[in-house]
Amino acid sequence: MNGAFSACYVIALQSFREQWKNRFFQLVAAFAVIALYFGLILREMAGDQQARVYAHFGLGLCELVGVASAIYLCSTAVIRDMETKNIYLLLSRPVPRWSYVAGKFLGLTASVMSAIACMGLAHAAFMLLRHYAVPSYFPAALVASCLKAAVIGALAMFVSLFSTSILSSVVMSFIFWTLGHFLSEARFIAHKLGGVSGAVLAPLLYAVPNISLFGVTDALDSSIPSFAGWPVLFGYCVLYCGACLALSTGLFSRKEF
Amino acid sequence: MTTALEYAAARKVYSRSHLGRVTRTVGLDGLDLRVEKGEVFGLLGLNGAGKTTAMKLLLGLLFPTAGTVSVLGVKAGTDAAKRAVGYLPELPYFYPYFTAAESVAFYGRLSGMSGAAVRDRVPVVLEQVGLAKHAGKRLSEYSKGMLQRVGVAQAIVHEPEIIVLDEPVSGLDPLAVHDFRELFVSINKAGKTLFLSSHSISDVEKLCSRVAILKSGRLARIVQQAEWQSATGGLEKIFVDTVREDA
Repeated sequence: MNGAFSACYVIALQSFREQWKNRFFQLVAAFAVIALYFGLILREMAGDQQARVYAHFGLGLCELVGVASAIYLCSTAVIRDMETKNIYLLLSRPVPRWSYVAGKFLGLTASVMSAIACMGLAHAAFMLLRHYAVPSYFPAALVASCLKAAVIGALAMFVSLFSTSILSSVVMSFIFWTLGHFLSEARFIAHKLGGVSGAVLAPLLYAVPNISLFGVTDALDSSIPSFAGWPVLFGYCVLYCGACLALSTGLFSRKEF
Repeated sequence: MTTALEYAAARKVYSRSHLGRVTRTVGLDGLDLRVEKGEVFGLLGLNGAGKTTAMKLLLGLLFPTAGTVSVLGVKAGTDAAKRAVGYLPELPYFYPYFTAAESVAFYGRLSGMSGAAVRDRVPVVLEQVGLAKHAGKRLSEYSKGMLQRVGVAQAIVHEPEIIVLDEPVSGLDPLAVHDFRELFVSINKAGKTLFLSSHSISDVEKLCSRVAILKSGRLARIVQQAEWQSATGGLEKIFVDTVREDA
């Protein structure tokens, strides 16, 4: 068992280093920095709420880039190893399939989270340069973005194992991510539908990640009592990712190469 | 001699489903084969004869439909069996942003080596495959022959008992082929078993002590070194005659 955990750690570390060694994240960081600078122009439209609008714009952008990266990286990770036949070198070693799946996911998620942290730091630096106070909920919002990226990344990895192409996997993951923002509304509709349709729809909605749960910025900024609390957020993230990884391992362990 | 590899009535059928219609292709059809420890054993066959299928069954990349495959008496595909095997696939792919030393160290760690053992072993292996001077270069700067050397290095880094080589000299220049042959001979002299497939009959002839000729997933013939050395036309003639029989 120790060997399996060690293999998981080695694969996670390699995936993390690979992402930082190639230019993908340098491009992402450059894009974010440029976009944040344009945010300074946008703030002119915000009247007396400049600092708040700028903070929200930057946090939203960090989250969008983070989530898009998580979906893309997790959708392509296993498929790319299969297409390049690198999987032969990995799985011909004493590496259990779950170690490979979990290691890939952990490495990619860690690299996305570190990219979100870097973009957040750049954004905070821009705010301080403009003499705006960094809002107290700023770190909490970045942590929530990281958790969102982990949840959607785990789902993207699972979807990639049964979808027919990278594009379909990315599109399906984005649909789930969008639907996840309106989960309470979807549950309300399922409840109102009743009958067979409602009975079928209600359990299916549990497969959709509850992204609205992670809306920390709005909850903390406007003091709306909708924040579920950190134990719930972390617990949900761990459970959802764990379920996706378990299902991914189930699918992956039957694959032949 | 003890048995290194054994196929017992090993059969592999590939099933592919498209629009509800299932197509079945026989990749390997009841293969019985035994390779002894310390041998250099070759697999010859036309495209689609089952050479790569036989190798993948050994590595746990494919699961047999029927029969058994074992490595040093252990079921193929298990961790114990994988630990005993080093594998060089045809045209291996490596992450281009890493150096040769980093890549070989990565595969060493995946094979269960400790960090300290990897640090000691990687320079030795890179020296052995002739890459010591280029160990710090990114793999994106490597030529095909150099990448193949990295492939051999990752296959032997954990000092496996058995080394499986799928088309190890495919597409290499004559000098590189010569170097690789010498390298394989030196690995074999260190007591390792080599199990290789190749389309190059002359290379198989120079390296192997026994050869199995596969035809349509079946074992058509096993040829001993003495047989092709004494036959007119050598191994090539034996191979051509075998694959053309009943064709």
